[in-house]
Amino acid sequence: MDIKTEHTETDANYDAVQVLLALSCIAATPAEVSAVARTLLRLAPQARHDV
Amino acid sequence: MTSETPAGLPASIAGLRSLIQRGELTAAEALALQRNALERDAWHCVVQRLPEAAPPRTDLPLAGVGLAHKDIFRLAERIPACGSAHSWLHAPERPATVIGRLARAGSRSLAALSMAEYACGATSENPGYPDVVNPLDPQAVVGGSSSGSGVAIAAGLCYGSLGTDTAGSVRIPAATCGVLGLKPTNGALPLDGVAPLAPSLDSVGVLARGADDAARIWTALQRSSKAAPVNDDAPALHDNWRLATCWTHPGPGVTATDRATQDVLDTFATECSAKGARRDIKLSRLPEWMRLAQTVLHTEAAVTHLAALREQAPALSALVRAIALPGVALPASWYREAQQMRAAHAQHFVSEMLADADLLLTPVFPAGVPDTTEVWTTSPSFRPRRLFELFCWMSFVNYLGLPAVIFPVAYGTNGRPICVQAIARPGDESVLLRFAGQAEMHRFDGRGFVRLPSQQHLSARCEQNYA
Repeated sequence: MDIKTEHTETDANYDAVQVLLALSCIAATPAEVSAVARTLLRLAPQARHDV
Repeated sequence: MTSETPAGLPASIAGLRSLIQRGELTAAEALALQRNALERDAWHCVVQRLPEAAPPRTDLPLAGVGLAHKDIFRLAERIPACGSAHSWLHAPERPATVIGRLARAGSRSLAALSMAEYACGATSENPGYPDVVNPLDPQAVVGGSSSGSGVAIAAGLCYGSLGTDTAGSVRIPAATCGVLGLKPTNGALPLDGVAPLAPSLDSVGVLARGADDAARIWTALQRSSKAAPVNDDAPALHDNWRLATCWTHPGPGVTATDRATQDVLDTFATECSAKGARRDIKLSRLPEWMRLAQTVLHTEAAVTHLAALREQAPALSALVRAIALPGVALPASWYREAQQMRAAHAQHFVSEMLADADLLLTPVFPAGVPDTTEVWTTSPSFRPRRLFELFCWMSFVNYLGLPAVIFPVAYGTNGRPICVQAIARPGDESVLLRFAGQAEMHRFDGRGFVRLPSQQHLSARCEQNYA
């Protein structure tokens, strides 16, 4: 995975989390949204052997 | 009278009860002395001292015994604030069942104790309250979230304390303050009247100076007032246990247990295991169990705090939001999977890890008790890895629903405790307390696990255990 692709994936995760939080009527700072996106990546079931 | 606590009373419940039963002291006098001592809280662990209650009948097993609990329990005299700026919004009318059981055994609640906000945190960090101080070493961190409980016990301000443990919140403060911390089997004690964080992981736990004190409190907490049942298969002697041991955390990026800690734990395990009955094991599934525990924690914490996240209830601190927010975005299927797999994982653990062992021993902290400045998130010297070390051996126990006890087996040259964690089969709390009691007797002459800098009056045998 090159840097450009990785950057795009991170952006997509960030955007997805931001939308999910907004749909839940929750305001979050950019740092919180980033932290949630990172947590989701870490906890994803397919990543269980990489945790 | 042997004066060993700041109240001028014996350091153990047995010693205090002996004085009362001999008529040298009334229960009311004992409680008054303990109340006075709590006024001199130099460690900032007391949130509120409670009004005097009617004295108990002298013949009750805990008559005269003063307890103080994490400020998360609904008491008759107080709606808890749970480390926040507000009283618990959904507090029930009646006190928590566990508090009632202790009162019926004759003990009295003397104070509510400080904690991390809404039990979210492996340290005492809570910007809304005064910083609590570790009686062992003011530079050393006080673990969380039951931080006031660890401090009050170590300082001798009370004989026991109830805390809650969702991912280590009883065991971590106990281990940083050199006291015993018991996390019971999930569901062993009722949770009504206890403010929730993640209900399927939450347990009410006990902190005490020694194993006998903890056992007396544990007995009082049982539904029946009879002594808690003891597994008769458990060894009666300190050197006759069948032990599984695991000193190495398999998670990538997890700090390896340092040599000094391994040596102390190895010596201890050898000392208390029957010849040929100790087996080193690998916990290869531990990272998966941690991931599943975290999935459950985030999801249930989000449900608990959803109104506040939506700004329909008082605001939460950054530390609480960091625990609850991911749960809003986690797919429900991940949570369902984590819950559906729990019983099978627990069964696997018992049948594989404890197949030929009474207990599994693990480290508590892989690299000793850190300084506060290393693990407080607002500190300029904050090191995230050191914070992670505080709970990396904890949360899987809650996920699997198992009972565990932690206690010091030695003190390092820096005066900080080196603790072991013992994990047992569901329902084996009494086995754990027997194990802890034998270790306390063998390593500390049965005088409790705490060794304050001002209390270095150790026997020669105890000094040998000062690593």
